[in-house]
Amino acid sequence: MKPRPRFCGPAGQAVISFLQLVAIIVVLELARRLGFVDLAFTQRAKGIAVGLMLVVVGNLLPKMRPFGAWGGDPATAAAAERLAGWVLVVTGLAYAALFLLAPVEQARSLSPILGLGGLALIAMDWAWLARSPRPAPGTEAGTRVRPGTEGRKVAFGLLFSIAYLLATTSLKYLSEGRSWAGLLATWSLPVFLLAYSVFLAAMDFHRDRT
Amino acid sequence: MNTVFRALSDPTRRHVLELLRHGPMTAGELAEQFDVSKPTMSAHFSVLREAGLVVSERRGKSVVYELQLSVLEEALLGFTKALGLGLGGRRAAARRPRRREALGR
Repeated sequence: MKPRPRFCGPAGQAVISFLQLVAIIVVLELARRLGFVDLAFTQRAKGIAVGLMLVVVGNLLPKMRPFGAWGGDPATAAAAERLAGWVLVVTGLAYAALFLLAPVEQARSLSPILGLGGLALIAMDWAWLARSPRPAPGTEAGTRVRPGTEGRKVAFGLLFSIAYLLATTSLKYLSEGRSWAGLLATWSLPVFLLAYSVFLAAMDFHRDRT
Repeated sequence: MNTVFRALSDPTRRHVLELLRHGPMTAGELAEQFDVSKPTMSAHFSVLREAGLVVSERRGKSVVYELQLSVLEEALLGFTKALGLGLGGRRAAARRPRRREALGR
């Protein structure tokens, strides 16, 4: 039997789940504008959907091996990936619980700190891994390069998308929905895409150099 | 999900997953840790691969296995370990001396 390409595996599952949750958020917003549901319900449901998004991506994150390109000890990279996955899952559960149980205004004010804090922890985890010592090429650990990491770019794409979503939501909340915030949120999308491309290029450059 | 539960229900397969936590290992290195025949070990590897808990890659003459657990699967593994599920099998596995120990390494 022909092996399935890796994108159909964890990376594909994560992208499909992410898009399903985005679709739920869009439908909720549409339903509110058409007058089917009230604002408080929409805000609550959207918050829960974003929390679930973090849980789904975090759950599959270690399988996508985002730190696979790092040329060091495979066990260290795998441990860092597992930690990143756990951080995102716990953050997502807390995020969803906040919108489920707390008053909406309180949930809206605390959720950006929670979500962006989780992503900051993952960034610190990655930075720690990037700076940790690598095994010498001749040693046993140095010869054990990890197998293919096709899901890596998808994993970082999803993380950047979540960061964009959380950043723009926070901006709109902090500006109390003023029009300039909406405009800024729209125009920050190309900046995030550019940052993602530069990030991937830097990772490839780093990998090729080592 | 059924394949994951099936894979985690066996103590030998759980032990393989624990060993792979320390990094990728070849099939030979993993088999060395157990006193079971090669076809039995191959069957265990096959179940783990089918469940998506490990990935394998052929390098020259050897096959390298690496852990590929999601957060939920890792939690399930910890849960089954904590509850000691399949204890009968674990006791049986503990009775069998590991080849390395038998050789006095």
